Amino acid sequence: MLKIKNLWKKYKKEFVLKEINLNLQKNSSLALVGESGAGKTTLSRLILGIDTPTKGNINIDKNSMSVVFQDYRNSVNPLFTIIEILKEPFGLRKITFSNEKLEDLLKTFNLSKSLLDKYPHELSGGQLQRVCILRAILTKPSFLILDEAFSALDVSTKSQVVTYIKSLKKEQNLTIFLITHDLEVATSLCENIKILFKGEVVESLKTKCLGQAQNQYTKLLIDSIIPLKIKETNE
Amino acid sequence: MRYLKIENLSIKDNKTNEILLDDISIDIEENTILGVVGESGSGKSLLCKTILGLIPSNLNIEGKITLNNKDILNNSKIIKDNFCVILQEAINAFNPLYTINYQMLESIKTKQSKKEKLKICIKYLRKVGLKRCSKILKSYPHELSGGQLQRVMIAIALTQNRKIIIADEPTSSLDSINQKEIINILKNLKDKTIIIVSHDLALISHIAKDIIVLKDSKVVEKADTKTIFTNTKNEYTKFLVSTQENLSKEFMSCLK
Repeated sequence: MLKIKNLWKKYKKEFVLKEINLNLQKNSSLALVGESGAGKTTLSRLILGIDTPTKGNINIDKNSMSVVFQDYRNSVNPLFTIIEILKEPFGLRKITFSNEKLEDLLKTFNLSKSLLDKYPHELSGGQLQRVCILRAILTKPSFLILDEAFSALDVSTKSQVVTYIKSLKKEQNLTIFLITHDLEVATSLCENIKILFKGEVVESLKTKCLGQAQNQYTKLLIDSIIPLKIKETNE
Repeated sequence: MRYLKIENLSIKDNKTNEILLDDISIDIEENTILGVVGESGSGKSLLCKTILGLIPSNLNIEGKITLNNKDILNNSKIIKDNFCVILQEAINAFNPLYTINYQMLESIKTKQSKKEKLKICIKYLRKVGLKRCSKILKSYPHELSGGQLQRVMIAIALTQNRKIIIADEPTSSLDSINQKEIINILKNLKDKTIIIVSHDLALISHIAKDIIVLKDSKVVEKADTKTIFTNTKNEYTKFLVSTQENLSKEFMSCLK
């Protein structure tokens, strides 16, 4: 679905991405995790063809691919109502729109039906971000790219949306490429994780083997997650 | 006698008659950390603003907020002398046209020479884990990263030497490494009373002694942290805790 080979990107005199290699097979899932400034956004721009790489190449299967962008405000047309925004990809791809499916999804995403006739500026950040995820899922893609797609959601909503996408992964054999700074989301959605630090992939591992991470930075990242303190309070 | 006390606080929008906060009563002990949790739109930030006296005139306030038995709702002097605030988006809290140096000095209101004030600034910048403080003081806000700015904001809050800190989602715009460091800085502050607002239950469980849970403008539960996470009777709190557990579950199991 997505193959990146020896990718380099230079801005001015500095390399912001160095020798990125990845190969995402059908029906698998990969999370690219890094802190701010690691080069996540640059990489997603390159993958989507908004920017061109300095060296290397990217092959991507654009058939039936959906993307949720990081900047949810700018990824919707402010002059469209929410229902028009949701229907837009259907017009482009000539697939029929199902109202039932939409209603089901609105419920799962905790969005009220009255939102459909509103304009983007009337929605909160979290609501609009959910609309963007909904738009991406409605067309039943087989490949989903999520670029910091949960950043504006509070924990309970995030958990519900993540659980839903997880179920899609199983039922529809969805291939997922996730770009995020949130290790918790990465571990619950994807089987494979690559850690990006200052433009380089410093460690690639199976999610299940996260505990055996070798790299210092990966360890730091794992250590920085604040877990729910239930165990300690039990003692 | 309780330290900071909120009694039957209600806020109504005069224009739409919408109730924005509904009969809220909280006691806060001195030098403890109170966590305020709830989903977006539950009234967390409004509660902070009300305590700070920052309510627009179209809202009608009922009830009482007292500090050491003195009413603070209509007394901006007591608020100014006792409270300081840490906000969510550090980049918007600074004036982009002035250096950090200028903005930090401006916030110290005591009568001291500029040299002494600078010493205080550097002392607190170090305390919040910043290095190369003199360089940071010369910078403009846009030259610093989000994590650095957030630390500067905490440093400014500390230079004012106030007893109570209100922190409204102080780390939500930061990545996890910065988040943990800043939460630890707040946790290690002694002799301060902190009200911290967040939707992140894990973070609150790490730092707070007591917790109130807000839903649809009402306090649905208030208890100490242990009770909230192990022995809650409230359905909504159970739901919030379960979603957080659900999100952390996979991560924790991967580490084993």
